[in-house]
Amino acid sequence: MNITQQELADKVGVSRQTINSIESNRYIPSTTLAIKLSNLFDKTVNEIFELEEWD
Amino acid sequence: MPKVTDYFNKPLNLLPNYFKKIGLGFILASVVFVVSVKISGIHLTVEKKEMMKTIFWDILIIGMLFIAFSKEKDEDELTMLIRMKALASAFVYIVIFKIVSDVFGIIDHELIENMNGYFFQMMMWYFFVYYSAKLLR
Repeated sequence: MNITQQELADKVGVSRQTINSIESNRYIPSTTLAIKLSNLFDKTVNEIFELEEWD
Repeated sequence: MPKVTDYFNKPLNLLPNYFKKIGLGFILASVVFVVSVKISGIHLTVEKKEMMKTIFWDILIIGMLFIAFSKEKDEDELTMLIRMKALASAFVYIVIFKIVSDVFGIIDHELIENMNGYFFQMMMWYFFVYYSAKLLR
C-alpha cells in the first residue's frame, strides 16, 4: 500500500508522530491500534508486529 | 451504571484543547497582577500582601493545571502515555525534592516556603518532562 505517514495516521486516528514512533521501534502500540493497523493493511497483527528478544 | 472495565479502558478525561489558551491567559493575568501591584507602588499591609501572594499563586497554578490537563491538538494514545509518565515523574520529583531540601536545610528559601512553591516546581517538572518527551517521540 503506497501511503504517507500522515494518511495512515488519519485513517487510524492518531498523530503522524505516533506512526513515525511505531515505525522507528520507539513505541509499541496498544492492542486497539495494532488491530486497526492490521485491518487497514488486511494482514494479521503477527504479520505486522513481532516480539523482540527482550519482550 | 458504569462498568469497572470502563475505569481501566477509557482514557483520562481531559479538558478541551482551548483550555490551553485559557490557562495561558491565567498565567499572564497572574504575572500582570503582580507587576501592576509592584509598579503602582501602593503601600500594602502585611495581611494584604499575603492575600495578594495567595491570589497570584492560585491563579498561576490554576493556569498551569489547565494547560497540563487539556487535550493536545494531536491527542492520541502516545500523548496520553507521555502525560502519565510525566505525571509520575513529577510526583517522584517533588517527594525527592522535599526530602533533599529538608536534609540540606534549603526549605526556608522564599520560593519553596509554602505549598505553592512545591506545586509550582511540580508543574514545571511535569511540563519539562512532558514537552521534552513529546518532542522526542
